[in-house]
Amino acid sequence: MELMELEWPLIIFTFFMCLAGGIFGMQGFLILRGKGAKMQIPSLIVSFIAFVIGGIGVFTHLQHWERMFNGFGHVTSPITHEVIGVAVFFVVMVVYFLFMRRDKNGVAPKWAAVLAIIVGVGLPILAGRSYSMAADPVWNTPIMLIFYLFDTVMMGALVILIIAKATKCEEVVSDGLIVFVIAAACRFVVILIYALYIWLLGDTYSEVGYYFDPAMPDTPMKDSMAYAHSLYAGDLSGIFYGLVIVLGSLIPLLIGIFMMLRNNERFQKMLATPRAAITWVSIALLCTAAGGVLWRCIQYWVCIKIFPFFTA
Amino acid sequence: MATYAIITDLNRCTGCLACTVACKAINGVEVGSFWIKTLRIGPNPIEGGSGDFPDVEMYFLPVQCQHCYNPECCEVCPTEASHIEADGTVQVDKEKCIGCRFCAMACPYGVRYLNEEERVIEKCTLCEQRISEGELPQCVAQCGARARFFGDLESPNGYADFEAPRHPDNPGCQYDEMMQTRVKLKDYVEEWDPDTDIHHLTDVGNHPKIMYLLRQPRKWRE
Repeated sequence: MELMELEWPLIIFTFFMCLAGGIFGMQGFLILRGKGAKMQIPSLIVSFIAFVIGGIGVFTHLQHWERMFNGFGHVTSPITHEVIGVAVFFVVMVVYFLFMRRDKNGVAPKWAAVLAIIVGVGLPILAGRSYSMAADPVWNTPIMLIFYLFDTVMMGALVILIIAKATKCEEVVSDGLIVFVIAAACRFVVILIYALYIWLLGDTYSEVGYYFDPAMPDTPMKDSMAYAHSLYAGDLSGIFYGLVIVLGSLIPLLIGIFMMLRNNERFQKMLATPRAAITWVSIALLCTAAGGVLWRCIQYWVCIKIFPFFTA
Repeated sequence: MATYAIITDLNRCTGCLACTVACKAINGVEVGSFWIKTLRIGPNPIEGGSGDFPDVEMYFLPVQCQHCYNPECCEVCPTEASHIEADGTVQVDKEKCIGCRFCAMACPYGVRYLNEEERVIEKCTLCEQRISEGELPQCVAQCGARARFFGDLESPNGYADFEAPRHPDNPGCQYDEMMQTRVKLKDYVEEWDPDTDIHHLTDVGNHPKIMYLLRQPRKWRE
């Protein structure tokens, strides 16, 4: 099974947009709940850094970035929409910061918090929407957008928990944990559904029976069923079950659940000291990030054209 | 203005690859890349047959940019480098291309690729440099089986008026003389049923213009 080449700049872009959006959106959510005022600056800084890394990452995808202004802005292009989304995200971040600084208590207004949530989840969904193309059935589904949504919330909640512990902002821990566990459970289910969707795509692709490409005589026929079935019972099932499901989804989910059971003596130690809590949350974040990145890789690996016979 | 396209009579195509080679030669397509390929489809069992030889059938399928009516490659291009020309062909303005490769992702047929040297997207241009001068695309001109015909879908008889190089009265003429004469599809190939024998590659809303003629009872596969 010939796997589609990974586009790392795009993977980095979507990953860091989810991270940036998640942190910013979660901070907005906490402000709406009347919590987390003293961790706003660290949250904004970390979110902004992730935002910049993602932006630089996607820039490296362009072969001729110097031509960006040579007619750039075709309104039907999802890249144009992404650029608009990135600009709006940045503007909202600046507005949030300015109004937070202007407030006598140093707290951003509720409307700015709402905007932070909207752009926080909106930008990753916009980035995911760019891949919705009829030519590529694996990508052409709203399930991808839902995955990005929960990936955003999951990573945002974890980073917020780390920042909360580092800044001793204990009031947000329970909210952060609940949001994380719900998002982690939802992302887990979404990944299972997405893999099922990919399985069911088997009959969608163009099928011509036996064929041969004389330009690539040593390349085997493309077996669209092998791609469709590769996750649950195929070439990629090891990566899928071991790294995406167990490492990237179940372990962080279990860590979150255990941390919520703080009244249970056995799990008290997990939150006993800031260092212990940060360690456990960091492990959950690393696993979540690994699962998220690998799932993005899988989205490339199993992606074949609706007419898959021209390319290798 | 015009809606240029190609139709290939798959009952005539012998899979000689002359179209592929001629295209690479005239357009300077780099080694390992193709603007047009000829796939062999089959041998596949004939319906109702024994399942084994000789109850099998196959045909050759030249695949290139389909110069779609509603090309998603143009829709997703952020700089409008990929665009529809006035003659109906889909072209890439290399000066505008930023090499984002979204058009390659959006193409249902995978016929676009990144030219590693120029770092821009390339694909079949339908030999724009030739058709703008009234010539035929090189894959049509050099077709070894006279299976490919080029023309304007807006002409009075549509694709039936598509043309290929051949002396209408003197099939044994020299090459230079042959290239200066044309025959029409309707006058040259066997009869066909327009309702059942005209095919397109898989259409996911892009509405490909390139056509294939495969007569019943041969089975078109997609």
